[in-house]
Amino acid sequence: MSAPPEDAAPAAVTQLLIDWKSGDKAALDLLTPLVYQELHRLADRYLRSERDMATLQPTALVHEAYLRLVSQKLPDWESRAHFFGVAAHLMRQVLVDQVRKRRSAKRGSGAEKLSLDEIVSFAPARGRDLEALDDALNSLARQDARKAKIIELRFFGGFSLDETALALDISMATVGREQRLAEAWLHREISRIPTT
Amino acid sequence: MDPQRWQKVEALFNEALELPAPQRKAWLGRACAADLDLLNEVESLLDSDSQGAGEIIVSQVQHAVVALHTNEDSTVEGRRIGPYSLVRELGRGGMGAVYLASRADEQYESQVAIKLVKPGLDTEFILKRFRRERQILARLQHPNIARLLDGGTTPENVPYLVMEYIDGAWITKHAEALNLTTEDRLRLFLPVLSAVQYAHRNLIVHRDIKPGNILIDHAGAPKLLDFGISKLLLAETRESSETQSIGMLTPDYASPEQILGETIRIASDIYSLGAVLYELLSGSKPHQIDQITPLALQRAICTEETLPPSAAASRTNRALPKRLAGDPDIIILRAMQKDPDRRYESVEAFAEDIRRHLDHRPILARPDSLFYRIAKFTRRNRVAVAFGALAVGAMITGTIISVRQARLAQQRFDQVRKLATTIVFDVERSIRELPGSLSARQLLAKNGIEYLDNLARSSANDWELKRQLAGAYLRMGEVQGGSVNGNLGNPTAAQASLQRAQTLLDDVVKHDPANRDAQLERLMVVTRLSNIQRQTGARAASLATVELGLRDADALVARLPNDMEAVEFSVVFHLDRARLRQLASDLPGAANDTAAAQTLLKRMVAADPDRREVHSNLAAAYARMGAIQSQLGALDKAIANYRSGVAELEAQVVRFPDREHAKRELLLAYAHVGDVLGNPAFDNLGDTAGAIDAYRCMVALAEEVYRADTANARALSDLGIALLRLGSLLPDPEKRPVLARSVELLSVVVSRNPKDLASLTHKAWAESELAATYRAPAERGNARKGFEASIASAERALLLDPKDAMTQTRLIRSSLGLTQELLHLGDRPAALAVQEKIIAFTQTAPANPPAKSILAQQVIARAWEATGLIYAQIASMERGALRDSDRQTALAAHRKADAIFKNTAALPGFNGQHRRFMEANAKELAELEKLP
Repeated sequence: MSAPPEDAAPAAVTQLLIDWKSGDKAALDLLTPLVYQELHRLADRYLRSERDMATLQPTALVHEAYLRLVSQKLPDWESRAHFFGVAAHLMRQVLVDQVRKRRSAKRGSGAEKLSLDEIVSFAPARGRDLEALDDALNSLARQDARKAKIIELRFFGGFSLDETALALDISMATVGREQRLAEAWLHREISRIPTT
Repeated sequence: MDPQRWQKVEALFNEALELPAPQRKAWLGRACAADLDLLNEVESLLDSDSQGAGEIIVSQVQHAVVALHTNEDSTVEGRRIGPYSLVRELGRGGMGAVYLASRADEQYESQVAIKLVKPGLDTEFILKRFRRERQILARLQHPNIARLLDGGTTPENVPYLVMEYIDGAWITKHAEALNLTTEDRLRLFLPVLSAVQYAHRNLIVHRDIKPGNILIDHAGAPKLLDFGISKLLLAETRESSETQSIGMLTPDYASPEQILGETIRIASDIYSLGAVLYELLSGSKPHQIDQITPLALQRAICTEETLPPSAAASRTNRALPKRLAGDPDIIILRAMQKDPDRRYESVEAFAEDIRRHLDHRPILARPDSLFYRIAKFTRRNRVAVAFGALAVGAMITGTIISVRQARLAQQRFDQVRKLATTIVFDVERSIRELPGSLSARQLLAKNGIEYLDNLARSSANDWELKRQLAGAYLRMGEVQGGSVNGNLGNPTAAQASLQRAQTLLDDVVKHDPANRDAQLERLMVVTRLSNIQRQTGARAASLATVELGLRDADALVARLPNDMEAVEFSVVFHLDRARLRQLASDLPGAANDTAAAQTLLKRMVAADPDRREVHSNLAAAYARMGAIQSQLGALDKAIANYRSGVAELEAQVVRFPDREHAKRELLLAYAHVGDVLGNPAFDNLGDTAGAIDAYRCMVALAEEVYRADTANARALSDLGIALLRLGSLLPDPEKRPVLARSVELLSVVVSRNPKDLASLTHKAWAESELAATYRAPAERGNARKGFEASIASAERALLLDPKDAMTQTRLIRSSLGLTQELLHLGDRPAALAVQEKIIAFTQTAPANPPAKSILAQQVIARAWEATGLIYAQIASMERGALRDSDRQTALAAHRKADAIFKNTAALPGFNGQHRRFMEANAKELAELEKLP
């Protein structure tokens, strides 16, 4: 694994963003792993620090990644919005990956003899919630891609109502309305009794 | 779903949300016409929306972020906790993690296990459990129980336990690895029993016995670990709710009562020990559990017959079944009986049978007899009712057929009748508490009645039988629509059943007027009947029934003046009539009845000072009288009654310390005293200092209740409400922190349960009180935010109950506050927008409560008044024509308010508070009219 792009990155990332915006689809493929890596690294660092987690938001990570990866000022808001759009999506992946990793670690070989304090709860584990949310978001995207995007931007990317409206080129009222329906839809999906 | 249909769903969803919540369903039904799928789709989305979908999703994302943090496996090494330094993680569970640690400040090697609460999950509940575990463990000193060495709190305030480190294998794995014989396994198990028995003698139930908690150390001795969810037996009887709320346990070894959330006792550990022994001897778990869902668990553990260990062993080993058949089967199945009363009565008896078996002496447990097997059919089905009434129905049909044959034989008549009443009464009582048992109960009552009817026809003059029949109808009525434990909501059928019971008992009483028991039963039927009538809105019928009951109860009291049960009925009827009269605005009549009930209750207290129900009825009578008198405007009398209530309840709290409810009633009584003495939100006596004193008592008590059980959401909400009342009356510098804490606590309550209407309404109130404290120029932003928060809370509360006048008023007052703040910032359009919203609101919302009621009218008047105030304020900031037109608008609004206020003056219930509102508006109006 290569070292985190501490210094070299900002210029590169900024250039990739500009390329992507001007139509270079391949730029996104190069951009994605950089952002993903950075988000992961930041998440890891947070894990090790003594900071009060209650105050940590996904938004904070996304923004910090932005500050580290992108040179001081991007030419326009649109490019920034692009970046955050990508980061929101990746943030979602980081979180879901993390949850999956932990679950499979639990199932793994050493687990049994560790169960000194194993308590099985009736309530589904927290991690399951996020996986369920992730699955539901994927189904929503198949039904109505824009609504799924709204949720991703708002909850994983920390977009405000007006930023979301700007990024998707719709009115704020539409964002509000669609977000509400999307939330109701997602909540309904994840509250269904699991059949597995 | 195809895109067109999805668009339709979206459009309907959005349109429905424009409507007030209660109108949505009906509108949607019309809009979807015959398209049921569409209706279901949109309705389920609206339901989901109303459950706070957005917040739930946000919290899931939050949890995932927190979970990132807790994944810190590689970082623990070398971390210091007290004098210990962590070596590695041993395991983690629902509430914490266990680490291997060594004592850092000593020369010799000393390893311990340290248990820590999982970061990010340190809710009060878990902290409490942790502290309890520490206390419990500290009391246990037994060679087969892992010792508690130390305990404390990390600098981050995370409690930890230091325990003896047992480097060993699970008992089951140990036995397997060494390929122990059945005898060896039984001998290995005896010290485990001795450890649990020792804990039981110390009144401690383990609650979570499983192979993972029984480790075999290097010396080959079993050690019992983890009293994490055990609990003092003594405390058990007091707080039964917690046993049900925990819901964390290991299902393979959990007893049926644990699965059903019933009270856990010694017998539950005996079951779990049986389950562990089952696995230890047979190599199989006792149940095939493929899913951890409540339903699957109930089926596997509570309903399905446990396979004898010998049969389970046949899957794996050929010689074993023969070894286990006989004594081991009997011993294990005795320990694992579904009915706790049929298990070994103690761990000692369990151990004794194992010893007898090892010594080749006869064991004491017996296999189930044929008779017992038949009886068990009933019992098993009693549990099965949670899944459906069919089996129960079949059982009863069976008995009816056999009963019909038996009827021919007169000598068996009584015997059969006894069976029938057993089915109706005992079985019904025993399944009453089971969730989902309603249809089974109804079937039981129905079949029982059918059957008793048949018997009654064949012996018309059997008065005793008539009484029993009436009893069956009473049960039937309760199931159909009574007030006990959930009902089927068929009040018409319930009334018919109760009337049938009443007619039968009328006959019995006519035949034998001296039969006191029959008369009391009849009065019981009459109270139930009047309750159902009142609940269905048939108030006149209910009043007639109550008066009939009151007359008969008084006649009985006249005949048996010292029969306190008869007196109690008279009290109940008086209080019922008081309630009906209060509802019908006959306040003097209600006051008379309450006074009569108070007199009788004092007699009852004198006759038997130890009956706590009488005390609680007396406190309730004082509270009712206080409410009636304050509605009458007789505030002096109201305060006297509320104070008597406080005195009564203060005595009760001391006298019956385990009656938790008394503390809450006392809390309300303090609130009432303070409200009447000097809370400007209510009609009051103007004694602010007295009110503050009362509220201080309220806060102190609420604080005490909350400290005693920090997981109790109700206590948290009560504390928030108490702080609000105190804070709203305190003078300026003191009030802000009190109100801020109130808002904080109520926010926690509401975020846990978004449907808690009372907390939401009080939160809205507290937020606006807090907002009003920000008056300095630099703080105005806080004021605005506070009013906005209050409006949002009030709007959410109104979604839950659009009729609530207190919330409506709050919405109007907070909107007024917000508009004033907006005007202060010079944002006239925004201020007017808020104001327009309020006018629109008053035109639609208050149509919901009885529009003529004084509350509804006052809400409307105060909205107009608020409008007037706003426009007057705007006018003062404008010039010329704009100013004149604003002033005209203000005048019109105040006049409108004035007219409505004046109308309310003629309505019943108009009190000093209402008058003060009216006069305040009149004053504003006069000021405006004076201007050129």
